[in-house]
Amino acid sequence: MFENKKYRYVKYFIGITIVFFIFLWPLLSLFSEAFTVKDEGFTLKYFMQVFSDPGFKKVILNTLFINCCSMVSAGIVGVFLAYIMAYTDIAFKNILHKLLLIPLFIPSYIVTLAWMQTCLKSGLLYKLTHFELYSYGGIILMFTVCQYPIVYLMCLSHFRRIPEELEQAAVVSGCNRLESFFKVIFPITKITIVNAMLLVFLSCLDNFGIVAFVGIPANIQVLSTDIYKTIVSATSDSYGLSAVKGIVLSVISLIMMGVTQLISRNNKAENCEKESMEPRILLGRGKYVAAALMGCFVAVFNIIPLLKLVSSALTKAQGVKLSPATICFDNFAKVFRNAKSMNGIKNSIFLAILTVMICSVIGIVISYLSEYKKDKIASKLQAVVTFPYSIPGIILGLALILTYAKSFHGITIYGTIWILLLSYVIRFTAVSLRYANSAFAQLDSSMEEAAQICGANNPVKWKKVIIPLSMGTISAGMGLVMIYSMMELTTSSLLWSGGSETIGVVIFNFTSAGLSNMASAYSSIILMVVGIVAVILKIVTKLMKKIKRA
Amino acid sequence: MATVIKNLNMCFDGYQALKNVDLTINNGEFVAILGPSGCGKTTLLRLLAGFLKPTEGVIEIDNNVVADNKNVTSPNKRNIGMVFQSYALWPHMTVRQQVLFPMKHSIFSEYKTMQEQNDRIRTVLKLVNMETMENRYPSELSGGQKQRVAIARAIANEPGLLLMDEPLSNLDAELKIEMRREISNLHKRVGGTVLYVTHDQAEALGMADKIVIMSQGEIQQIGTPKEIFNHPVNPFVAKFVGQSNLIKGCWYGDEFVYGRNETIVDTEVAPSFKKENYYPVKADGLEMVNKNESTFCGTVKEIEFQGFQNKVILEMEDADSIQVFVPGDKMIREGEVYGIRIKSRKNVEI
Repeated sequence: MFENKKYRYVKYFIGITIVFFIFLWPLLSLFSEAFTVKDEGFTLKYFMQVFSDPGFKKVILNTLFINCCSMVSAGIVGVFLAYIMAYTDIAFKNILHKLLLIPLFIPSYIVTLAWMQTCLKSGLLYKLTHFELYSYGGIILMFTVCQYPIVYLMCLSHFRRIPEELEQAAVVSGCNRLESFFKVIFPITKITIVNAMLLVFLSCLDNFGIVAFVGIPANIQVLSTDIYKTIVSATSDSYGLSAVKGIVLSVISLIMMGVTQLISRNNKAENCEKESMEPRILLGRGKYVAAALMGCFVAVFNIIPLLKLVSSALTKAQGVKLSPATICFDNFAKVFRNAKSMNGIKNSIFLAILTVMICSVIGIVISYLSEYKKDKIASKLQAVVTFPYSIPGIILGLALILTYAKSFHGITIYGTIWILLLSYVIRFTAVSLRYANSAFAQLDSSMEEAAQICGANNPVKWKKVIIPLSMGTISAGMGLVMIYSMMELTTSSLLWSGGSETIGVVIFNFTSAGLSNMASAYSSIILMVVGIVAVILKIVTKLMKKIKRA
Repeated sequence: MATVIKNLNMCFDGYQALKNVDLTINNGEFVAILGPSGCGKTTLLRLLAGFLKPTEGVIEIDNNVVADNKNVTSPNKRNIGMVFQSYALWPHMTVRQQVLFPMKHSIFSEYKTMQEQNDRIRTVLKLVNMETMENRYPSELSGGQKQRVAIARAIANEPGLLLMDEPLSNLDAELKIEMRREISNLHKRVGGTVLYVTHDQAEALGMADKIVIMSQGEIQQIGTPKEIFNHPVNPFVAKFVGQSNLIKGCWYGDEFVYGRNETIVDTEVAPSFKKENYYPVKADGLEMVNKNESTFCGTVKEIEFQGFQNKVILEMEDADSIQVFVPGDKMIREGEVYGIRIKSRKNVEI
């Protein structure tokens, strides 16, 4: 018994050390870089330099302005859509719901690329509206298009959980529908809405694709692009300066997170009811009109840009109209002949598979120990592992460069594909952990106890009881990690090197080089590959279920 | 203010929830709608509130048509109050704010100034014994307290018609009886017209001036609690409210023949029973005798001790089961065969 306990502590010690070094060490070295100069020791030089630069003030103001506007507009769009989808009997609800979620599964830089093709000066949209994508408005629009699903999903589920009687009670008391929304539904969901909006803010802070594709040509700098530029400028103080800027970005992000936590804690009005799918507002024949309007929204914002992306991939030069005469597959042929682009797909798939495997193992083990076994050390580890997820990706990339640029006992992982793997694992373990947590929360501890009483040993217990019962939720998390790591751009843009380019990096490089038609062709191929993989996965899971039942 | 319902029909996707309902609710009456689940009583209530539009028929409140198959006055323009089954208290408002809400928003509110509203809040909360909990949130209240707040909110404006949708079904047995008494007393003190929907016959019999029995979307009987209990008009009402035994047999005019040639004469049985050849009789309208004293015999299946009396359940020879009340001191053994006789009606007080 004693032996066993001692052994356990050793195991824990090793586990904690590894987790600490992988997940927190890079962030600490970022901190030290900001305050030290080689051979001189402690310094505030970089801080003085950054804060006396008027350009940096502009960058911060830009960031706050763009993020606040995006947060508000994504909030309004998300709440409005959620209200309609939750309460009305709009026709074709299931299909519309799925179409509304498209931006969740397509990386924001591909969406942005699609809009760049849609908003070309020669295009129909520009002729009609004279809308300039390369502007503050354009960035905010892109953020709104990519982020509204966050607000939509969170509000949808909360709206459905509000008992219908609460609204009816307000109507009986003399309110009309609009009043009862503002007096009852809105106050109850207020905190969820604010939370969702703060998440949008954080996600905008983290985003690199949109601001790089749209902001840099428009000469609008925000924190993440400014940090990127500082790093790649490769002067003698670029690491120190970017570390300081990174700290500023983390401070903003941590403040927002703190606000979110504070608000959620004061949430007295939370009431847990089951989600009710019954429609509450019957539109009669209007439900088809509503569906048509919603369909137009989905088409304009989610579908037409993607079609435009594909069609521009099929034309020779930017701005050429697609017709049977101009159709050509040169771009696709070029992409397939391009060694780098093929290498990108290969690398991304390789990285995604490894990331999913590593993240799932770490996530499941930590979650099992802390949620299921109520182990205190493991729940501390949860916090450690989740922390990097809240740090913007650009800072994580920077921190990894600073930590691993030097060789470590003769081994250098900087400049190889392994540093990408490391950054993905650090970033996405939190995702698989979250899903594992919710899987174990649903699993009653009596299940495992029953297996043990029936004589199952550890491997059997896991194989026959724990994994089958929690696999559904965990595999959803694995799917998400897979998509995220395949499409990652923010940290990859800093950490890639010749031979280790990823899908995101290839698209980024095509676009920066002005080869937007090749970027479109490549994106189309990626979307197709992802779509095919998704369909195959769906069929496989369906078949598995059938086999299980048979 | 009288509420008149004329020839009301309601269809949901081909399923007829209400069939030709006619009902008048007079000013100051406490009307209970009683029926098993799925009988259409909640549909009727929601039509009166204005949450549904009738397929056919007219609803008039105070001589104003509030609903027909074309136009529906929305709930906020009807002078009504409602107590919901789930209470529907707003989680983000205090008790005080809940009660204030209808006064502030209803077009029928007579309480316009702050002073009037404060006075009214105090009065109403006092009526339901909640005056000390003004500043609590619903999450800080027990089930019974939530119920009181829901009632306070519903009567804050002195609505012309108060609708109550199974308000006691979420309470435990003891609290149910207590709240039943309180609602009754409240109605006696404050007056007002109440429409009370329930599936619990004890609630309806104990509180209502008038009971409406519904089944499968149709009104079966309207009457005072005594009428309903003692003179059910059809087998459904007899079974559902009186928990009557329906004895199979044959009617010859006013004479009923049951068992093998046992007879009883009764002039008060409604024609619908005669048509179906049933005799309705409560558990206390039967007596158990030795098996050779009656040709209507059954085996004792169950004896339920109820204090002053025992409820005995017998399986008859034709496989029907019937219930008989037997004085507590009489010895009955399970599994033995006894004869059953119908007592003549003069024993039953009306």
